[in-house]
Amino acid sequence: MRVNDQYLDTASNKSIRSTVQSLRGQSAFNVRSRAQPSLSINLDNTIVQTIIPPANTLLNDASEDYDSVHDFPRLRSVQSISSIVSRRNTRPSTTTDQLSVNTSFDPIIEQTYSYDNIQDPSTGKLQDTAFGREVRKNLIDRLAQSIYSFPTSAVGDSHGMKPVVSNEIPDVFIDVESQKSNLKSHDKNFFILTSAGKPIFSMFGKDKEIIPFMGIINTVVSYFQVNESTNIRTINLKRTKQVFAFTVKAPIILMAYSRRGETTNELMQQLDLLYSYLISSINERQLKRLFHNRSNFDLRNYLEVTDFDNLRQICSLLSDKLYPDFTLNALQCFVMRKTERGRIHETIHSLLINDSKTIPRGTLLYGLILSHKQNKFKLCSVIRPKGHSLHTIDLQLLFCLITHQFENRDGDQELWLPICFPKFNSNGFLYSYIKYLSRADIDTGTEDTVLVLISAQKDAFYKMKTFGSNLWDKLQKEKLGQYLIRDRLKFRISDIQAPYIHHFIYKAKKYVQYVMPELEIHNSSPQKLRNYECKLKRYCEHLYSSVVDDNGVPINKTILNYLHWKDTSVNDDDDNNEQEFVEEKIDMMGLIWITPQYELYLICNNGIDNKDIILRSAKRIIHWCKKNEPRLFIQEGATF
Amino acid sequence: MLQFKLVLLGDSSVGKSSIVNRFVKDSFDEFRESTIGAAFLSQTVTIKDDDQDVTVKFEIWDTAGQERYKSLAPMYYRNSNAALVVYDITQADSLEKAQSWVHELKNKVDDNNLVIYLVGNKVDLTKDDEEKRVVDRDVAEKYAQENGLLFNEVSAKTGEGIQQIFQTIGENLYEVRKKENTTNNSNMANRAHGQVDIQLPRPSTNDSTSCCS
Ligand SMILES: Nc1nc2c(ncn2[C@@H]2O[C@H](COP(=O)(O)OP(=O)(O)OP(=O)(O)O)[C@@H](O)[C@H]2O)c(=O)[nH]1
Ligand SMILES: [Mg+2]
Repeated sequence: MRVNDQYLDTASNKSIRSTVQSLRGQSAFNVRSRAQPSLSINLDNTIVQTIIPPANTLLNDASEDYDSVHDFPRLRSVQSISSIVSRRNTRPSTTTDQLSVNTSFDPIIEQTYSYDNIQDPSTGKLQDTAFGREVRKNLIDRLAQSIYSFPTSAVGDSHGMKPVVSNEIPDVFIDVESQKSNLKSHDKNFFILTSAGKPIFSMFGKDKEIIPFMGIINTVVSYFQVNESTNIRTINLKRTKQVFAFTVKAPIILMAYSRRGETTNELMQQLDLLYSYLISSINERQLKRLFHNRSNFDLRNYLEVTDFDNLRQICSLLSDKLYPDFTLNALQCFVMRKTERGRIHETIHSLLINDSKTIPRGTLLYGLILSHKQNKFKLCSVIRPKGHSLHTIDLQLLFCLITHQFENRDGDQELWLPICFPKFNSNGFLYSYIKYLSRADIDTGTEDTVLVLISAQKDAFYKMKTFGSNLWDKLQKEKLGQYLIRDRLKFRISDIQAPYIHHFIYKAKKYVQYVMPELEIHNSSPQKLRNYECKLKRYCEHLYSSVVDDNGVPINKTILNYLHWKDTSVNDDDDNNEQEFVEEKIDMMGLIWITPQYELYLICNNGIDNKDIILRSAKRIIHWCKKNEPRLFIQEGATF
Repeated sequence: MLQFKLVLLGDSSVGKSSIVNRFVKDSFDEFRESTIGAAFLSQTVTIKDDDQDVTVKFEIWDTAGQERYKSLAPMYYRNSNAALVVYDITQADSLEKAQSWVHELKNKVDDNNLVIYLVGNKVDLTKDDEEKRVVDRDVAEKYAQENGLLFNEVSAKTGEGIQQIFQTIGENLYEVRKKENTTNNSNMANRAHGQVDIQLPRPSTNDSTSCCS
């Protein structure tokens, strides 16, 4: 089995993102900073970052008593942090060529930060109210309970007040063009075609519309192959902020288009995922055979409805959903107590050792217990040979394949599924035994829990079946089954003492796993949920692309950076004097913190622009994640 | 309890999973995901042998009709006691596909007692609109007779004829097994056929003629 840094059990921090080389594109921000940063990198005169050199351990040490006032002097070491401020431009610029559409973003830079002036924007205002102190306090208490922020902010409490901020974050990514409905209007699209120019798939667009595009793509690719003897990787249109990324893997060509400010590298990674999907159901050898002597072969005849559904699903996860599995190349883990997880793994391990009659050595390659909810899988347990693991992409593809299969399956059904794991062996198939251990049920509070046992042997079904049922019986007998089928320890942002944080994602690089709080959105329409997720996703993407170069390489081993999104559009208030409600100003801050151990993405509540407070919360989150590591992540699994 | 293995074969979207779902759960989904790989399920039927109830358990392989999984099919039909070959009466080429499955079964499966049942699914569609039918009942029935297959038209949607298929197969296999056991009449309770574990019911009455004699 191959092992590399994206495998579940490796500790390397080198990202797959860094393996793709591409042309340097334009960067999304123009930054002018007043203070001289400790180190600044200028990419095409664009991004400026504050970089904390690895030697600076002050910030790394999140486990220290972050509550103490000593934090303040320390913070001075990062005074050079610059803010990147984005101006929201609600008017689309005129389009000049066929593809060009302006993004709604026109970032400018502004230094908004001053040390002497630490002030909580949300508490100050309320002091002027006409309420009596008691009444006011009560009201604030009640308000505070309805928001995410934990009420013991240093600033908030010093006034005997609790911080009050809106728990709704604004959307700064409204793309005016997207509201139209033609092919050009989408701010992101994927195309897959054959080397002969025959369309295979596109995320948006009907056949009639996309065929000319496919022709153009094919011509461009061929041009570079013929004239430059190379494969084109990317086209960057700086003015219109459009990026086109290509992946050429004869007989397949893939292209991604985006004007969302993603780096070429991110798009390439997304294309790799789509290509991997194709390989997972066809495998490279079959693919070559299909096209052998038939370069004109129409792959659509070979693909099934399921494939198109799955490709669409992947595209949607890549573009609209908060699905860090893909973007972070990591998996999310089902929260469980350390002892519980430990005992489960022990039980599985002892069964594996003692049950070699049912399951001779070598039959089982890899096993997983997964929790499935709203099309999202979380890892509960991993059964794997020592020192080996499956690539996260392979597992994600497995998840994609089986997601839909669960929609109308009854619990007794067992699946036996051949699947090619492209990162494991792109020319062969493995076989997965898949069975429900429990079904979601609101009354009993259980979740959909799935057992997956993977073998290289085509006819191992009955062995897997017997082993699977022995395993589940044993877990039940030891009273461990309940921990797998009930999600008791899921947490919200309000469970962590990190004031003013709306959402975060923390990736533990060592485990190739990440955590994030449950999204707190109730009884919402699917459309609203989608918008909300997309918004969060794009904040995170922005944060990420602010600290990596176009090849996806972080500009330093350790990076801390703030982004500030601000509504500076001139208010056309004269036009709407009638307006009864004035929306809160957009004033969003985010933080990204990358070290060799972890990656942290923070999205703050609207109106919070105090970097001290944000950094303090960031440290609390990191501290919390580290403290709860055995609960949040599978560290070892059941190895054999 | 008697146990039999049964496999469903046929083109994609003819309704194999729907038939199994109707049989096992007595329900129907308008939107069903195409099967990938194969799904394994089980369900029992009760058949009558004179006055006696005999429980027959089916272990069912619902295979994927998608072309790319075709090469895996032998794994599922190899040890089967019965095969349901399904086509869609509103799709002409699905009958051709069914015929090629029958052909393959006859060539590849040694077991002379393999019960093959040809099933034309989706008859409900022709109830309001006879135009929708493209495969004549007579044509399919004639083909079935010539090849020694059981045959019926059914609807997984309404449930029409579904239970009956499994009932008939169960009875057929039971008869076969009974005969087998009579010819090698020693040790009748423990005979195994292939991997199938067969236990014929012991007579519950004193009447020694009530069982296999
Ligand atoms: N009207 C009608 N529709 C049916 C009937 N049986 C199945 N269908 C529909 O036909 C479609 C395909 O049914 P499936 O049961 O998934 O077909 P399948 O043979 O299992 O297909 P694969 O899994 O791809 O091999 C579904 O949309 C069903 O709702 C039927 O008796 N009447
Ligand atoms: Mg099916």
